[in-house]
Amino acid sequence: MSTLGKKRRRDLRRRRWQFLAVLLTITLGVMLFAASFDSFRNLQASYTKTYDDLDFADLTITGGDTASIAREVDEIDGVAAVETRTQVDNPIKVDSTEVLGRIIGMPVDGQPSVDKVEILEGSYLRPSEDTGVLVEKHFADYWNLDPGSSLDVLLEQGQDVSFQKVTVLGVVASAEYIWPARSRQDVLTTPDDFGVLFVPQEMAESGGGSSLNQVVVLYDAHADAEALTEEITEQANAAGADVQTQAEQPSNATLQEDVQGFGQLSYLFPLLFLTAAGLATFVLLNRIVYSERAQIGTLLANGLARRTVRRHYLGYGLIVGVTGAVLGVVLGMIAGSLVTGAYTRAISVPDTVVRFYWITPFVGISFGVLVGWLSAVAPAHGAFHVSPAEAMRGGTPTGRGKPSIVERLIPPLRHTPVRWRMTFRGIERSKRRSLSTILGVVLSLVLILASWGMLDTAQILLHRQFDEIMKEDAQVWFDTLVTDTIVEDVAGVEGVVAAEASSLLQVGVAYDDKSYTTELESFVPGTRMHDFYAPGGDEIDLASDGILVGEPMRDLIGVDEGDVVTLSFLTLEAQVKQLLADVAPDLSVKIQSKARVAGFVDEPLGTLAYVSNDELQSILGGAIKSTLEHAASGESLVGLLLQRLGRSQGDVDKLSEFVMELPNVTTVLVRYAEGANDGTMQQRLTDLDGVAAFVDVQGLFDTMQSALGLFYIFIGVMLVFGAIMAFALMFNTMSVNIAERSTELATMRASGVTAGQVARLITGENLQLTLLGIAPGLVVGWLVSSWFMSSFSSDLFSFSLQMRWTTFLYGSLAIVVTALVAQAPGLRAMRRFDIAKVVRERSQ
Amino acid sequence: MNASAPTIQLDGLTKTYGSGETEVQALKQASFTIDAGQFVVMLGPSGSGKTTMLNVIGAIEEPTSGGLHVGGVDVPGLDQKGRTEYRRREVGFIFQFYNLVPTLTAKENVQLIAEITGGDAGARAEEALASVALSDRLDHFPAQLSGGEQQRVAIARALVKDPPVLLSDEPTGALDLETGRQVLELLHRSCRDGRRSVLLVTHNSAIAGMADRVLHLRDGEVVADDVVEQPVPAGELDW
Repeated sequence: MSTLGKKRRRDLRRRRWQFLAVLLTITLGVMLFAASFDSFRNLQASYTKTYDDLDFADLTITGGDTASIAREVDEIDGVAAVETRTQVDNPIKVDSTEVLGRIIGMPVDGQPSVDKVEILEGSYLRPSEDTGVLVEKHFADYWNLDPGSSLDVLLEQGQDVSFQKVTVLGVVASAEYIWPARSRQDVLTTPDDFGVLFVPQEMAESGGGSSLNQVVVLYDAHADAEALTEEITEQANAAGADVQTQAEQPSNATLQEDVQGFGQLSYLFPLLFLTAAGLATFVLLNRIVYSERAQIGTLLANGLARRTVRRHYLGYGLIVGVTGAVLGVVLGMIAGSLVTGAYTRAISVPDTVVRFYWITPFVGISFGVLVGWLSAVAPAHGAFHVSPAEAMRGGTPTGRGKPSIVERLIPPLRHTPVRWRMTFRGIERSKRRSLSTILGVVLSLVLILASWGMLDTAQILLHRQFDEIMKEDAQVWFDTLVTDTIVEDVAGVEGVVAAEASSLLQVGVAYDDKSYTTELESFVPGTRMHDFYAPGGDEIDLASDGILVGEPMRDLIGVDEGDVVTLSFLTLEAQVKQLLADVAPDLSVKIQSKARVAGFVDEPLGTLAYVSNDELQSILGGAIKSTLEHAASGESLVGLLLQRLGRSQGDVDKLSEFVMELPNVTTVLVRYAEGANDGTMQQRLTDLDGVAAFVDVQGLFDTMQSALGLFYIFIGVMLVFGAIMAFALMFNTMSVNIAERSTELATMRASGVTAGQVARLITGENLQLTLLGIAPGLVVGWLVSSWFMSSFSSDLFSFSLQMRWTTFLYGSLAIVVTALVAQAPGLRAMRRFDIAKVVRERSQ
Repeated sequence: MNASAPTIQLDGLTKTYGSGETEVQALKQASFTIDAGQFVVMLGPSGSGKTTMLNVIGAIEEPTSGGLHVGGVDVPGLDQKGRTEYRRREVGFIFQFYNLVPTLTAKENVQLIAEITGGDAGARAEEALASVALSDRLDHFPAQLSGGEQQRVAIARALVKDPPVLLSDEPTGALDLETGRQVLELLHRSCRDGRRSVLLVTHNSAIAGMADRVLHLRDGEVVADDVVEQPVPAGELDW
């Protein structure tokens, strides 16, 4: 090893704590990158493997003439497979508890060619087992359902609709329900209110749905997916069907939202850490170069090449950068595989793919080298340009002293005690170091606020959704149209203080050439079960002539207030189609109506449409009547319906009334009396006649809170990392601050100034720097957090940043405490100054 | 403010650094007394122990053994707080490299120390600077002062506490001859009224000519203790 190499090694050892602080920050930064980047790639690979293994549909077409659409799509080049099936939402009864169920028809003689299921326990459906079903894993796990277990499903048997006992043949995983979302508007479900069953196609057809209502399409691996989707969508829309791409599929969309978070994390947080590490290295190396100016001057005077000097000081940054990066890559890749495994286990992804990605160590080590090089280049450049004569002269302070800015702005401060003025001017003494400290505070606050902001946003938005917007304690789902009598019965249950009828219909909202499938929820006018807030935050009422829609709808379909949209009642279309399945299986039914957009609502979860019960009746009545009249004029729909119902010709009004009474998903929203027991209330309400399912809203909120456990751990880890980063940076800048002034501080000590007084001087100065950083830190932190959260927003979640004022306060306090702790080692060193030795050194 | 300079009494003072094979005895059984108002020069080659002697008397280093009394204060017996108080009240230091705070003006550098002893710090700082002929440089920062001026600010900083003992370590080491003479004249003047003792450490034997007394140190021992019968004025020194 060269002599300069030995010097560098000994310098690194002598200032080991400061270099370790830098090393730790670089390690954390690179580790965060490697862990989040690998997790992101691994999770994508895990989903892809599952999707490929199970032939996850590229396109799902619902409605229209299913069989005809399937035939046409099958003819298109690039389509690998097409399947038709029936999907209906019917109540399921497990352990005498009724929950919302999704019944999906499957062929009994073998897996379908699209949207297969993975058998985790038991076996696939068998032709001999006509009451055998497959249960999706999340639901099976929650209710302890194994092969051989039984449960009840609401099915049609002859003219009766009643719960029928079915037997579990197998527990399965499905690509469509890795995240068991009921719809894009209802992605946050829990197994105690929503479950998926894969049943024989015949059973699905008797579940209240049509014979076939869904086409699932799989593309060839090398097909032009975009062009195919465009072509099929055009055809399907023309046939009155709704199309959902794989990207829009609720489970996949939710998982992609989530996994994109890892993608975001893989550069945002590492960027913060590596910038902080760069600053800390920069400050430290500047100090080293400055304190070694005399030696550098001597070496240069003795003929050492300037580039050798530059290389020597660049070496410090590169050694720390590369060492930190290698450590970070190794730890990060280990963490990445652990996070992937924990994540896939937590949400039951069938496959866990952990791979080695060359790009991770390549980029991670490049980060380290870049940070080390960038942070060392300026100090090394400074060393390169040292003038030997000037450096060896020393003694006289360089630079001009002057009153601080604050003294110039506030002249009375010039008359404060000198020790105060000393702290004011100390800040401007080394502008680069002060700027580094301030920037460090800003970076630390950004990290803290971005992490804490996520926590606040999640908590505030959940509270907003479940406490301020959804006011009901429970939703009681009935298998018949909810009448006033039913509402009165519910209201009469002990412990219920309010009950209101409501309905939930799947609709397509179209404007110009764009459409969006969502749910239309109706309430009684002046409802006490739901509050509506305009994007500005003002509370608004349901419109008497029109609908309210979620704010994201502006961008989704380009609609504005006052515009008239076309509503397609998908649930009703399916029900009418099912009604006529035996007499006209290929009939295309379209029930549409116009509605005015009366306003927009700002809600955290989903992008729904709202309407009053009266307005819904008016819109729906018009839609049915117009559809039937239209049909009556040119087609045989009315005739078919009347024939099916055994009614007389020309009775169109009565017919539309009948259609409206079809078993829509109709609910009664309930509020409990103060202190009512959730379990007791659930029991009392599900005992009522006709109750198909029950949703405990508070329970949903609690379940979601507990589901956020992993998220809270992540936030906690980020906060700890943030504290470490802040500490490392401040420790270095503050240690350097004290080291640079050791001579004058020791002289003060020699003059009788106590160590405590000197410590207060230093603390005062450091606190001023910290406070100077806090102000912009809060602003930048808020802006970055806003941008960060908005990048998560979609029609599924509206993640506008919500931050409590206490977060700003606690974040600032945390930084102040970190600064105080970070200066403690420097102060301890000051107290241990060998005064006699230090006062004989030249000031630096 | 002290009424008169105390007697400095050393009795078998020893200072040892390190231990075992690396042990170095910087001071070996040093014993002498300095009377109030004396201007004493400690002369010796590098490593003779003169700076250590100054540091021990100034309580910025602790002796290994032996006695040291300054104006009746048992210096080795002082705790940390007592030593700080001692440095604050009894001694003033002047160093070779001035050690001024670069962000404070001449007056503020002096005032900073004046503030810790109470009273009208501003006025006292101006008075101290006037005594070193720097009244016209009050608001200048160190970078705007010459080396001699900076050393005079350092002297004013030491004098502003009005300490009975002034300890000066190579005060002219970084100065040219003329400036060095001015600084020495100031130091000599500061003990002229008999209220202050000055101990000046140097390796420059020429400076010994202006002292009342010269202590010669070699290898940690006081090898000679000369009284100068006819001190020469600082302005007449030459080296």
